[in-house]
Amino acid sequence: MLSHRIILGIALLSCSIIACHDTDIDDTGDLTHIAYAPTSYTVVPPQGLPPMEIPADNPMTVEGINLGRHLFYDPILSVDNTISCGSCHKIEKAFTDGEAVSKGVNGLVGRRSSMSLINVGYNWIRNRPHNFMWDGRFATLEEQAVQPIIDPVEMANTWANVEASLQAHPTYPEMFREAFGISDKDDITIDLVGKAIAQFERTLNSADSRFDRDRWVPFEYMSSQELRGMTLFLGDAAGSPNAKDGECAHCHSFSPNRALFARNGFSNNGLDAATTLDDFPDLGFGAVTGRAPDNGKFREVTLRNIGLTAPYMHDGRFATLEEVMDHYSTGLHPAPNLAPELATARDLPTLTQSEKDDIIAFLHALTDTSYVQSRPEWRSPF
Amino acid sequence: MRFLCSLLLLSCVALFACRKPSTSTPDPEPQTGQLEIVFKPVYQGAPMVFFEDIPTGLQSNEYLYFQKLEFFVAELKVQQTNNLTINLEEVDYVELGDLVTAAMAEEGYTLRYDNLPVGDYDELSFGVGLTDALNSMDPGDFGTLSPMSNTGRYWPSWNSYILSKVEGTYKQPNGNTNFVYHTGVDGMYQPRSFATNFSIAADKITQVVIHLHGEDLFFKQGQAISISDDNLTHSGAPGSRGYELAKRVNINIANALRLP
Repeated sequence: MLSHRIILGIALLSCSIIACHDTDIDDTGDLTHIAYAPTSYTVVPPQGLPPMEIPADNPMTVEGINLGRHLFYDPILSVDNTISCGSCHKIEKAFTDGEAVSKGVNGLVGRRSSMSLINVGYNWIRNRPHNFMWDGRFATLEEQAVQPIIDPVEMANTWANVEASLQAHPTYPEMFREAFGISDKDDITIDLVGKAIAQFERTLNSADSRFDRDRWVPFEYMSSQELRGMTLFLGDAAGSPNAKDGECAHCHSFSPNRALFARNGFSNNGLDAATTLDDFPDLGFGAVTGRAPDNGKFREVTLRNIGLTAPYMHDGRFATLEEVMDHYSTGLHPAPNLAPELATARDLPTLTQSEKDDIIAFLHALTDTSYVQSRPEWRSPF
Repeated sequence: MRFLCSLLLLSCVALFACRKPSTSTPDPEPQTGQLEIVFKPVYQGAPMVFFEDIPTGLQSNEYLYFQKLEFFVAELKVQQTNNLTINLEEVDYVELGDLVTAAMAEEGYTLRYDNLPVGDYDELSFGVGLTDALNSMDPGDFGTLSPMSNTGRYWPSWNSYILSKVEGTYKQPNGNTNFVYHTGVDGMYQPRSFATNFSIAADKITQVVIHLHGEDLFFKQGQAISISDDNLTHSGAPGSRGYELAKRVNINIANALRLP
């Protein structure tokens, strides 16, 4: 009898302890009892890159970045809880996925290749409407971050579903409160999801390749082959007017203090033959602007970490950098809007295999994997 | 003496202590308006449309197909009729390559400047290209709102900006010649001034139109460029053929700019 009373007493005590546990989110969804005191975060640019511009309506905070990191890797954003942003943007592949075109839920195949997110925050040019994606359809990182959610061949979800899932989640309402100061879980919106993910992505900056170390670290140098490749990359006037010109730096341009290896423009680089401006199988940038001269143009990507982001081009048609070099050397297709720098390239068809290898060696010298080990905060928190 | 000093001191105190508070109203905010400089590409008087065949007018079945025509402008200034100079902007950029219809070419490419003092003006001036001082900068030194931040307008092997770009195709009956003229390095800056009367009115926009005559880029006597023989330059060291050709292109762009 006494043991029964003891057991009952322990059970009642346990129940009372559980029942009286102070949960952060009450049944009404009110979050105001949770402190909102975000910690400002400053993006420190790598050497050779300029200060990053941050949109005024999405200042960086530790809490916002942490929330964005969770959302980036959480398959809760997809309709069947199987796909996250991290599914197509893997840290080991400079935040691409190694596929010609990405796969979404149920193995649905997309039409474009996953783009690297390293230094992606530098793609934002104020007041320009075309800054993100192969076809430049998004002006801001915040807008781009939430589009895969509703893409039927990516996450195939709806923004309403995502908002409801996050509002009902045991921890996300508190994280949204701490990041954005919302008062109620119903204030979780897709706009805030985009802002959080964008904040996380703006931290993914690195410039610690052999090229960078040659420039900034005493007694560290690129090899003679890599230097030959850089001379070809830069083209004529790089020391000698008779130097062969690989024409690379026209589009994949850089300066000492903005060494992004991309001018962030859109070009037709001769992938598809076209007799008229309407002949292209994929209109690319032209589908966004509605201007025929923009048909067949795609974003000029950064060449940083290009050695990690195979396959290449908007549809992943080239498996290796060797194939890319062969394309530029002897495989350009004519079109009315073929980039004139390529149309007038006298030296490209005459590049020897050795010279192509030199350029490829220089491209590999733009590889930076330091963050794979040194930045665990870029990995999944789950 | 002491009495006089005391009297003087008291007088001063009384003078300043009893001064009535000023009843004058503060000076009104100076009135300002806006100026738009509109660059319109024309070819033999007609709107010059990009990505379309433009008859050269030299021979039949001969066309120019422009893809790109863009350039830096620097030291933009206007002068009032009282000879007061107003600085508009240190540097800006003109990009004509998006003018892909006749209507767009007629509309032109506009540079807009705010807060010009109301009044009468008689001169607009700027230079085509960059001064040597500006050309010594780096795109990383500028935010993305500045045209100087674009690395596509910079040539690292020169440590120079690309001051202007003219790209396209020259189509002749015996074949096509693609052309790319990228000009740069120091010493190519081309100052221009335009005597033109205009007025800035309060909170109003005033336009000054400048035509860029496409035919003068290549075919004007005394400054002609043979596209067939010299279709390409990425500039070069002073004295080199590439340098001289690039400088000629910049001079021709500057000289092709005229008031209607």
